Amino acid sequence: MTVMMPAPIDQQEDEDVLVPDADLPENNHQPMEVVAQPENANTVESQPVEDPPSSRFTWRIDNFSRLNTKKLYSEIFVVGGYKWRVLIFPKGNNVDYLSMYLDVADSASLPYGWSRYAQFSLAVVNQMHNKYSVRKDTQHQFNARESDWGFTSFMPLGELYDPSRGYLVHDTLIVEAEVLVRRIVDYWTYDSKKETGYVGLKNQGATCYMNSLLQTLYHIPYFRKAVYHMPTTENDMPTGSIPLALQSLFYKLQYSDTSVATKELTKSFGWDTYDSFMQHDVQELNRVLCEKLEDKMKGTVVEGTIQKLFEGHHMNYIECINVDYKSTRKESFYDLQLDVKGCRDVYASFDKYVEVESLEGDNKYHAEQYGLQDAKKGVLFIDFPPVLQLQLKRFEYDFMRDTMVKINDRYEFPLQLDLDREDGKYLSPDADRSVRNLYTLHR
Amino acid sequence: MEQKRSSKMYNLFVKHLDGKTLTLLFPSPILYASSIKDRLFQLTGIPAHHQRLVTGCRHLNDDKSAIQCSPGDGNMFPSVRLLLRLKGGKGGFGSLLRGAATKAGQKKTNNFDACRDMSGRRLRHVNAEKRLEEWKAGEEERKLEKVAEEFLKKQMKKGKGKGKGEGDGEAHKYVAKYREESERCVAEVALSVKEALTAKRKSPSQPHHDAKKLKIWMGKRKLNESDSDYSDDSDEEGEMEKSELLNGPNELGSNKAEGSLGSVNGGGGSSGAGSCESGSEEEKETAVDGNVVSVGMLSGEIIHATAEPVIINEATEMPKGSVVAEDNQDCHGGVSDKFDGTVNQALNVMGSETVASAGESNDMEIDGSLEHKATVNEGSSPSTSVPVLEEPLNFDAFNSAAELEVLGLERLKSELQSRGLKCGGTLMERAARLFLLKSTPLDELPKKLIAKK
Repeated sequence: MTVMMPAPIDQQEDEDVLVPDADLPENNHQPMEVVAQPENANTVESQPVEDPPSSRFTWRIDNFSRLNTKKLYSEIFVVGGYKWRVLIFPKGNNVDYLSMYLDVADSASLPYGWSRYAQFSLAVVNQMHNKYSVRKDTQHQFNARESDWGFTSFMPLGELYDPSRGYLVHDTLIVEAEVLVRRIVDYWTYDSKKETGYVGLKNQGATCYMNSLLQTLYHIPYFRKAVYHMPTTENDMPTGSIPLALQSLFYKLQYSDTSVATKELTKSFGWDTYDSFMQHDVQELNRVLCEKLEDKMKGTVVEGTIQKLFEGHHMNYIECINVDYKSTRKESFYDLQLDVKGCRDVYASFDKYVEVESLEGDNKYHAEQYGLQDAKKGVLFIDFPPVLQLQLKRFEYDFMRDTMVKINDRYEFPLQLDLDREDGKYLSPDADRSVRNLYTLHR
Repeated sequence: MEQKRSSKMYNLFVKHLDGKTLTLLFPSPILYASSIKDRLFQLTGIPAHHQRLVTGCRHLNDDKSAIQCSPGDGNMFPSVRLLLRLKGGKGGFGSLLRGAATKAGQKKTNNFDACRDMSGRRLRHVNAEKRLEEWKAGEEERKLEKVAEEFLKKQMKKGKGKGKGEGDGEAHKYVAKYREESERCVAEVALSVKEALTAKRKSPSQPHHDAKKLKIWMGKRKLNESDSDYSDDSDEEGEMEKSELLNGPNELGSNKAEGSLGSVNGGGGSSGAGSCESGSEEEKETAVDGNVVSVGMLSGEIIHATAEPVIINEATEMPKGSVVAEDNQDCHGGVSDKFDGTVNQALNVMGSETVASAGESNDMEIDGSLEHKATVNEGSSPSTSVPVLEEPLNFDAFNSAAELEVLGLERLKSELQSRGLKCGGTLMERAARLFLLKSTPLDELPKKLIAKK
């Protein structure tokens, strides 16, 4: 797994280029999750306010055998904030059976496209022996075209009108209805654009890793705008130009109302169907993609964007033990590979990263004038990039099986990462201490 | 010191998977990814194809990737990190393919009877032979078993005697129970029948009466239909029963089954199956259609009632019409007959004239004695002499159809018409048709050649 941590916090206040970063909206999966939770909370909160969603309604019908009407409606009762009533055909709905249905009482006056889901049971009570009552239950998604649902053949009329049975006593019939209203999300008509403001990516093959990388890069507005400004010609085809394909993809993610396909982009990569179904390492893809984009950006107005966004610097220092020899080397990095095994959280990984190691035995250091020497080596950070990408090394090698094994240890990372902690122990003496290295997590 | 300087070495720091740093020494300031991977394989045992090397900013992917130690860096290469590939991308169509592959493997069979051995015989037969040999080998054991069984049977005889007595007692009990239960069932059936009859009697009489009226008024059709007098709706919508009957058996069957289940369970909270569920709107529409259909049928029946006399009138008129048609046909036939007769007379007249002209021509060609003969023929019998004159003159003088062509189209046409043959066609056709009469009587000619009346 790769955790990308773009942090839209001012790195250097003097640089104007980074000013827009401060205004970057923190949009990612996490807001979607937050959005989802309030919905659940609303659902939970609304329940006590409304009537109990399940209740029983009893309908007593006198002079039942003398009713000449074909259809008989009960009075209206309320369950789950909705109005319901029971519909009965005393002589059957074109059958020799009692027909009984649950009806939405105010279906004619409800707004267009209304829909509700209910589980209900209908029963004819046996007034002599309650255990002989006839009860049937079902469920239905009521809507304007199907505003009632039930049983056309509830029970034979012969049994109903038989005095010895006990259903009709003193020419009185007792009907019970129990309704349970549920709120069911219709996934078929779910519109993520309306619900969250974002649309998703279609899974072209085994390309989840690519989709997550694309979403991460898309949510770095500085990066997205740089991609939009990459020059393309009218003759370019999306399938043959990575910049154009990426522009098209980002634009669709931003303005389309339905999920977006990634076929054009993978074709511009030169992938065929086999490559789409092949799984890849997301950090490797990130490196390759950024290298290609960096090449394409050379000589253009957006040259150096990758470098501005992701490049940080740290220094390696070597100090011999037995002789007076020191050496330092400044290096750039686009991402950091943090250990997971043996580390419980991201700070522990950073501690291990800057830990001083001993170079001895087979790992002796070759000093220029003194030959092989025992030495101590360490890493300290000179500066951090505006967007810090961290890769978790959740892999180790199994020699017996000659394959990679994934490390599934628990690993914690806070929502905010403070790399200035403990008086800046990660920073080198050359680091600019006036810069605040505080990052917000986006995974 | 000089020797040391000449043998300068460059340090490459590689961070291992576990975070430890390996120090590799290389004599060259330029390194390729392949050489680094080979060295790492020796040290760590991880094959090169599993390794993934990255520097801070670059990805050492293939053999072309190289890192170098620039003069300003002293003798240290850029740091390299050894990584593995953690492949992602669950789900999607690819996972289905992989799943299918594994599932296909699981479907292997364990039955190899149809396979053949090295000599070509099926394993089924080979195994059967082995089983037979085993069975034969076990003969002695089976004999011993038989002896043992006989011994046991003798012992069982005593036990059987006791068992028989007990069995008889139990059977007697069951018979008694069965008789009691059967009597109860008979009584219950009688009671239920009586109750049903009484229930039917309680139904309203007026609707029943109305039903009778409807039956009488509807006529025979209603009598043929099977009606249940119990509910009025069925009577009012009698026509709909036809369509319902199509669905009726299934529904009734399922409903009966449910009813029976209910009775078996004692009707205690039985829950109906989903098969009974149906929106009443459909039934409403059906009912509405039924009403419309019934109205239509009523009006239709009225129309039929009014139409039937019309049909009867038409039926009565039909023979009249046919008679009239026949009369017309007869008149037409008569007219045609008369016309034919007149035509024939005209032809006869023309024929005589033609004969006269023919005679004249003959006179001109023949001497005076011939003139006398012709005159004598005419004087003897005018009506009879006409065909006599034609036949011998025409056919004796001509030996082939080609010679008849000399007469010309008009002459041939008149000759054919006078004989009742078809007179159309080309000169050759008419000549050939006429020449047939030389050797064939008129009656024996094929009907195709005879002119239609």
